[in-house]
Amino acid sequence: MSVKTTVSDTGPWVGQPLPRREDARLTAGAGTFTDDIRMPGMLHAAFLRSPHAHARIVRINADKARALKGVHAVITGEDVERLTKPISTIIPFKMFLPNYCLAVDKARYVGEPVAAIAAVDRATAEDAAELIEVEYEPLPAVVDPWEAIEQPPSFVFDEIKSNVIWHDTFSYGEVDDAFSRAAHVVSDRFSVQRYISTALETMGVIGKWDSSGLTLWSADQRPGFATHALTTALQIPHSQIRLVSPYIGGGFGNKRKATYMVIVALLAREADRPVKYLEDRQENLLGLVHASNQVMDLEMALDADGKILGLKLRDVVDEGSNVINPTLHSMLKFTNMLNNYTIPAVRFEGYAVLTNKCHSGANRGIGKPFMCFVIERAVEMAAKKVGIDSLELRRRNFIPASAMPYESPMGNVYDSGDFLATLDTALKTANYDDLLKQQEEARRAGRYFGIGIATAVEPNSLNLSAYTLMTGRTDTSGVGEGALVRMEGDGSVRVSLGNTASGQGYETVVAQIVADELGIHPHRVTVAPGFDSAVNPWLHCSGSFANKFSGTDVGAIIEAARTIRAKILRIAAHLTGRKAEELTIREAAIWVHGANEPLLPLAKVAMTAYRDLLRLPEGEMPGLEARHFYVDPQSNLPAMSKDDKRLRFQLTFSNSAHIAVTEVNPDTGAVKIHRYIIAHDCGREINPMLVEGMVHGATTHGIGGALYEDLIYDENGQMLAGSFMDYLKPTALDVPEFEVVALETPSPFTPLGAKGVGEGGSIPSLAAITNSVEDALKPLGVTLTELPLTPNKIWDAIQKARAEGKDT
Amino acid sequence: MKPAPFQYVAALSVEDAIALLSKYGSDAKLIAGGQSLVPMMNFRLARPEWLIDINRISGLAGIAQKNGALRIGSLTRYSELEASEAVQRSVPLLGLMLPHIAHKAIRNRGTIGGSICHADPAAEMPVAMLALDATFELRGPTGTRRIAADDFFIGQMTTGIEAEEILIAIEIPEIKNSEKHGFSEFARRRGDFALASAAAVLRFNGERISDHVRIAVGGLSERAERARAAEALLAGKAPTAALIEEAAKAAAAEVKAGSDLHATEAYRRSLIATQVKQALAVAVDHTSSTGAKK
Ligand SMILES: Cc1cc2nc3c(=O)[nH]c(=O)nc-3n(C[C@H](O)[C@H](O)[C@H](O)COP(=O)(O)OP(=O)(O)OC[C@H]3O[C@@H](n4cnc5c(N)ncnc54)[C@H](O)[C@@H]3O)c2cc1C
Repeated sequence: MSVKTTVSDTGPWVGQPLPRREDARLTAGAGTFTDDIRMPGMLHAAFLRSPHAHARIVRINADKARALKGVHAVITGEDVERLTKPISTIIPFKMFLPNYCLAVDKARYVGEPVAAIAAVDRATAEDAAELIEVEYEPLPAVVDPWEAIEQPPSFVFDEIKSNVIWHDTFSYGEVDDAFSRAAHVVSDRFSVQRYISTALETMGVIGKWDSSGLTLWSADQRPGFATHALTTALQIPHSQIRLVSPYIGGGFGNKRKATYMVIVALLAREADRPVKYLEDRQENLLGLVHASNQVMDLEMALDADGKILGLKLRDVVDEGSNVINPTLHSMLKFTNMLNNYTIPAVRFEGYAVLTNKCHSGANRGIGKPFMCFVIERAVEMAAKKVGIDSLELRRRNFIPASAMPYESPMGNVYDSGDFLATLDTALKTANYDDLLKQQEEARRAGRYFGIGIATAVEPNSLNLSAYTLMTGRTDTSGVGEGALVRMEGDGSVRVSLGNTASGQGYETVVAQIVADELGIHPHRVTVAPGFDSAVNPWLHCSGSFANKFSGTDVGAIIEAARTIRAKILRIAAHLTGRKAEELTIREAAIWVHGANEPLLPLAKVAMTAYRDLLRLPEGEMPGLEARHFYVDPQSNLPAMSKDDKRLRFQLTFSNSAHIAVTEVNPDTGAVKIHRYIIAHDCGREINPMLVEGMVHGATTHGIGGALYEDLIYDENGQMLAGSFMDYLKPTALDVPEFEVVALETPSPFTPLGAKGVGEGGSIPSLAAITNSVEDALKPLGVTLTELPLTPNKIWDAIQKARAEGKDT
Repeated sequence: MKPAPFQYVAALSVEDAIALLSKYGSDAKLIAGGQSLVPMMNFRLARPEWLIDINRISGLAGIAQKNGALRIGSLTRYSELEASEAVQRSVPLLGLMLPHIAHKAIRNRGTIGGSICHADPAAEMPVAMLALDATFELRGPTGTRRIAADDFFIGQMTTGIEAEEILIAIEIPEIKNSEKHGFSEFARRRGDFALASAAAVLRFNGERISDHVRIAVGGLSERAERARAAEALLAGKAPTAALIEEAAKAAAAEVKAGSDLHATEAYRRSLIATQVKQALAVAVDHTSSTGAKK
């Protein structure tokens, strides 16, 4: 651990490794999560889910379920079609898609909810689900994404008459010219499987109606989008929907599910009682959301010196049944396809394809882990072809620190970072030369010892104008967030955010930020642990996504705090007959700049603002409360010209270099990670301890993707990994002790110079591990292009290499 | 993921349990540690109408040494076995094998009898039972009978136990002076069910292996199996590296292995060979587990 652990007892607080103040409560089991909420008369819901990947629903008979003792409400697709409007879709088509909360007419994936029951307890609801008779007419399942495009066995949505929900080509720079000038071209096909974060808390919702409308309690990490989806689906005024997110036990992008909310709302209305639904783990794996499986064909053109001249890419994203945001993986992948290199010309042909699988959606890094996998694998292959060390090839191609801010051909502006320094720091921490010696010795002893390196950018925040380029829709743009700061009469402060905390430690870091702005101790700042749409300030884009906290959210927090600060100084000036510019706030008191004694306690000013209303400056509104909605100033609109597809898709860029040291057991194909070294730069660290925790968690996510996790479907569209017996997460025993070193290049684009860190580890880790395993197997001449690297697959590759006589 | 409706009844004696089993027949299930049965009930793969709890029967758990054998009550938890000096000393194979079963929390609940009666083809306990020549004491409405492990495991989660019978105890001969044990397993992660596991019990005549050779393999399609061809190869010979290699290959070829999500048949057979080889290597080298403390 490299992390600074000593905390001073004075400010500035930003930059100090304050222990997470939420931890004591959470580790004692004292957090209130959705499932901890109980209400008088509350019913419990269970869903009947489709056993078929693709089937017409001919008939449903729920009479027996309705008649079961303890059952209060049953709804099926018929009810849903009658009572709701489809959940709105963001697709490049104008047609109506029957995207309801329950399967209507057709089930489109194994695990799709077909009927829902509310009963006195969950077991009774599940008993009732068994009593529902559904007559299915199975249809051919669309499983393989290439087949879905070229020879579709059927259409997932008949309305579109194609399984290709999006297909486009984006070209930047002189691509053909780059390839005609190339001395070397590397080409290969790469693929990544479906995998997903499995937060300890599965997704849950409680719904309750009363005279003021509908209240929902849910672990939803995008409350802005969710309530909007509900108002259109349920056709009730937005102002009559209140969404409360209590503690959220892990988010990672996939904690969102408007369909569950609509189902629970319908059941609660039908039963006239509060209704709770909580996924079990099987439902969570089958049907919450999956990160897409993806396949990319890459061609990389290089000159004789190993300078990358251009990329030609053809990419297929298997969206499953996702019609909500099906271009997300494609967009976030291709706009970042440079990774951290100067690549002047890129052509990207992308397909987003519907199949009979769980819908895809956001998950930690969305598309970028695969971006990095493809590029960092290609860089290794290119180095071999050019005949230089891959580290040297990287060095020749990095965007130099002197070029910052650097505008990529796609229009992204890389704010800051010294990629060379990050790589060199990782190499130094790893004792790279020693590692090479160790490897030599190991190889001499017949051991398969690998060193794998991958470098990556970690893009932050997402300019939602991007959807215009993907879908042609022009009703959403930019990115922003809301924050509310209120100083009470005693000088203590409460803060609430439009973002929903799901384990990031906002209660700690937001207190640090606000404490600095208002000259108080962080202990005097209370950050509301949850979200309440009736109280917190929020926008439709509010919530936790795309690593946006450090820029967008911090902007909102700081602006709100500064509004309060200015007001405090105005009131203090008025009370003391000074000028506001002469004054400052420090240690919970008002001071004249440079004075040895405080002028006035902060609480005196605060109290005045709340009760001594006639002694306020003239025209000053009482109270010390500010609500700020911040628009990230880096976000922009797409150019008006049709051919110009440049945009600032993502707004700031953290970066890292990972080194994985592995050993492969040639008999079993098992991979042991001996060491894992990480150098990373997320700008100014608000709290280094939390930053390091994020790095560990995200890298573990990548290790899972590289070696263990696979939401695998068979050729009939049955999902085979429906429990933690078959969906393997890396445990503490499977993850090495990470060696983390931080660089801090402040961003010129964010209020504190901070950048995102929650996704970073998950981006280069797929490539670092694969590069390492391939390097371990170098004596066998094995090439690895498909994830995950299960022992069986590695063993197969070894057998194949041996059969071809490659063993040296 | 909640079980289908069932009635719960706690048996207070073995007679009680047998009377209840006789009354409800195949509609009833005994519950010991619940670490296999409860997940199956929650998935609604098992739907007993009656759940007969045997946890309160006194005398069903415990370890005793008698006439050169260990007598282990069926309700004895894995953790108790792990902590027992008698087990570690007299049956080193169990000491080598137990840490591979699941994780500590599960070993605190799971019982030896539960694992044997559940007879999961990927479980470790049946493998050890075969290699150790264990005998199971069963009791039913018509009395007590004893059955050898070899005859007990029939197929995928099917055994020689009758619906009205309860497993009372397991008898395992204590290790002889000339006897050596080995165990090896490959799982995707520590604590997972084995993709392949192997147990070896070898008795020696000086430098040579005697006729008493037991090799058992787990992670198979139907049940844990003895690898008799491999055993025959080793009997009466000195355990050279080449011989061990040959025996391992024979074992991998003779057992019923299949493909599943985590392993193709070819890969699994290769794993079996490596695990048998490793178990034999451990047995041959394992001086610390050959009863040296005796
Ligand atoms: C997460 C997890 C991981 C696991 N990993 C492993 C592993 O790696 N290896 C492994 O081997 N196991 C593993 N298990 C299973 C565990 O070992 C079980 O405890 C064991 O298989 C059954 O023992 P039990 O006492 O819990 O039996 P129960 O679940 O109570 O019963 C199992 C079956 O045996 C019957 N039964 C129980 N006792 C008797 C008796 N005295 N007479 C007659 N019938 C009886 C029951 O009726 C039932 O059919 C795992 C379990 C879990 C939950």
